[in-house]
Amino acid sequence: MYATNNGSTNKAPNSNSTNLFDNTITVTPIKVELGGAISYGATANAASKVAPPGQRRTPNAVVVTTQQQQQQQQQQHLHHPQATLSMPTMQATLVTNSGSVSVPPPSTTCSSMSVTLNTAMPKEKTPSTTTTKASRVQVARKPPPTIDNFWPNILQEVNGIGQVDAKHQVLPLARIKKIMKLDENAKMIAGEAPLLFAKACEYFIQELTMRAWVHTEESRRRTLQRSDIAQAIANYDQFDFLIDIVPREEIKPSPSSSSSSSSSAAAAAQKSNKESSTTANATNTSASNNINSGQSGLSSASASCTSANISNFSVPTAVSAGLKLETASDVLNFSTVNVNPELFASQVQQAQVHHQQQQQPQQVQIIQQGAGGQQLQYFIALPGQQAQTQQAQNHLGLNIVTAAAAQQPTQQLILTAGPNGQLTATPAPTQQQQLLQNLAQAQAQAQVQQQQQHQQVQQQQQQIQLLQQVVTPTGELANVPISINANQLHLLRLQHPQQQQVIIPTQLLTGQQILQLGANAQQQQQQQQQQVQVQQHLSQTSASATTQATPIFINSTNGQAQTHQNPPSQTISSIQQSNDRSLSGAFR
Amino acid sequence: MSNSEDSQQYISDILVKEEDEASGDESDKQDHGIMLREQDRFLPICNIIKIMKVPVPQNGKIAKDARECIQECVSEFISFISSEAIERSVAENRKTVNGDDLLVAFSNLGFDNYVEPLSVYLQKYRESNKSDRNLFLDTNFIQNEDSATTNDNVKQ
Repeated sequence: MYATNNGSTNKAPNSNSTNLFDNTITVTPIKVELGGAISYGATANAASKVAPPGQRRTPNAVVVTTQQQQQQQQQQHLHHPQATLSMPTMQATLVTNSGSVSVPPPSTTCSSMSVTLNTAMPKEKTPSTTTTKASRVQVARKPPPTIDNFWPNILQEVNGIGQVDAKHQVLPLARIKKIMKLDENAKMIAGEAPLLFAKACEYFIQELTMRAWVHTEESRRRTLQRSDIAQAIANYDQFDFLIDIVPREEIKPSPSSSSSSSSSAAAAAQKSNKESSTTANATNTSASNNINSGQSGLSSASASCTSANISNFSVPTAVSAGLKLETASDVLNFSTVNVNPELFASQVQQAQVHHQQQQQPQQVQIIQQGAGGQQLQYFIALPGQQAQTQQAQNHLGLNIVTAAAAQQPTQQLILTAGPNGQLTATPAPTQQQQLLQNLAQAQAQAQVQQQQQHQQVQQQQQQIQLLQQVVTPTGELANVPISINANQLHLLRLQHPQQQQVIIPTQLLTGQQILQLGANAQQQQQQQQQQVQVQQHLSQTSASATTQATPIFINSTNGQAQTHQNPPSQTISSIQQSNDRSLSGAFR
Repeated sequence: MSNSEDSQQYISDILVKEEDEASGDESDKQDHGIMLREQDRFLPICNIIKIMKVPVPQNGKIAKDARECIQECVSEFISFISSEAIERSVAENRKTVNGDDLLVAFSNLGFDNYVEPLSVYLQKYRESNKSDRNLFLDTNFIQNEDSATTNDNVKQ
């Protein structure tokens, strides 16, 4: 109980003191450093029977003084706020540590008494917990128990009980008895049973709340929610009987929980940003956004793919992206992904900068926006060493993203990749391939997970990356992924099975796109040297320039399923011109 | 309370209270019929909130649905243990469920942590009860204290 300013008393929370006297001020123990300046109020009134110094129990001390003395004492305390309560016709009660109340005999009371908390010498530091509020609020709030010390604390507390007061319990015994009697077999209930239950329920509530609070803190919240309780119940065997009371659906996935695959993928993706082997990074980004994580069963579905070629490389992407996996015979080696085109396009634009050098793409992923907004993702297994020995792990993934994806009316491409028909690209084992997927990686949350999965699967694969080297306005060289169609990829394989460089006709980037790419590249923190160049080479023959560089220069076509026919020379020059024009226009 | 008031407080869970009549206890006659008010099934939420605040830090808060959830959990807890204890007492052909039955039930149902503090608590309670009684009861009573305490407790 604590005294309020208007003369009434309130019972402090968690206080076990009893309300024996209505006019009693019960000040709960306060750790106060009492210095020499403090003297117990030798009030003129014998009623104020504050414990004389001899009996005073430090640190629980309440000084009750009359007004005269109080003023003197107040002058002595310079820095510390004091709580002064003027309680007419009030008695002061000294409360000891054990919580029992010692009440002075109800003799005559002072007409006006004040209870002052003297915080010792002026220079002495007030205990932080005892300020003006301390006089009103029970200070001795125990620190919240932890799981480890919960039961030992309870044992200690129980052993410290002097007497069990059956009349004053925290929980009403009659109500407990009522609940017990709801059982049809309950006939007679001993008196001690509800009492025992009251204590047991108290422990139960504390333990359940404590365990639920752990989850609240995990989610970095300060409000304990029902989902935290549900999670606590699920995590502790003792609470199994409560599973029906608080259904499991109440558990909300926390940021660190693995209940949702996408979130875990996201977390994983953000953490380990290494392997770029993930194929459908760009697509997965949007796919994970779009596609329900309920498609996690795709892993099993994809695992059941008949074609061994696609089983592995499509699995990671499919799993991580939750993509649909088509196992049609003639689309053995690719998975179609429905991707949000806008997301994709935006990713592409920004993605350029993100072909992080640190990433070792293990699979080249071809992402091409199909007609109707579909993104087609083609995985071409790179033959590691031999084309046929490696099966599932032998992927050639061409990671190509149409820079102009939003604008290209691409068609459905069908890659027939089998052990024999595998598209092969030039092996680029160790060099940094700037994969398109990495470009979108910053946005893709599921990417890293895919990458990880991919890594595991495709560690022996060789990589290839189809890039278009673009000179950005700042003069840096940027590699832009280029989209090609299946036939173009096939051409890759046919043309340059062993070469580092493969040239496939593809659609040209427009000048604007290149500018965008360049601009984005500047914004990002890439270290690439970007020059505004459009380098495109014709590769109609196998004698095309086979530089040692790993980037693959691709000529873009209109995306038709044709072989490399169109001489892009015209387009090259046109693009260059357009680029120059646009560049000049932009920078003047 | 009149029955009309009770009917206004219909709760979705309706328990048939035939056991109420079979219980032989006179004190629960106020809830006649098959209605069980929500306040009869649960412990009062204020008390529960007070206890909940102990393990929660001072700046922590408790959502409203969380409090009600705990309320339901506690009632389920009581029912769960009670049914086990009652079963045990019935199996031993005793009419009254006493504290020892509860302790055994706690142990059987996996609440081993509870057994020790509660048995200490029960012991202290019995001692304090005995000491109270010693003041007022004569020696005869004390010798028969088992049956006497049982009777007294039942009448509470």
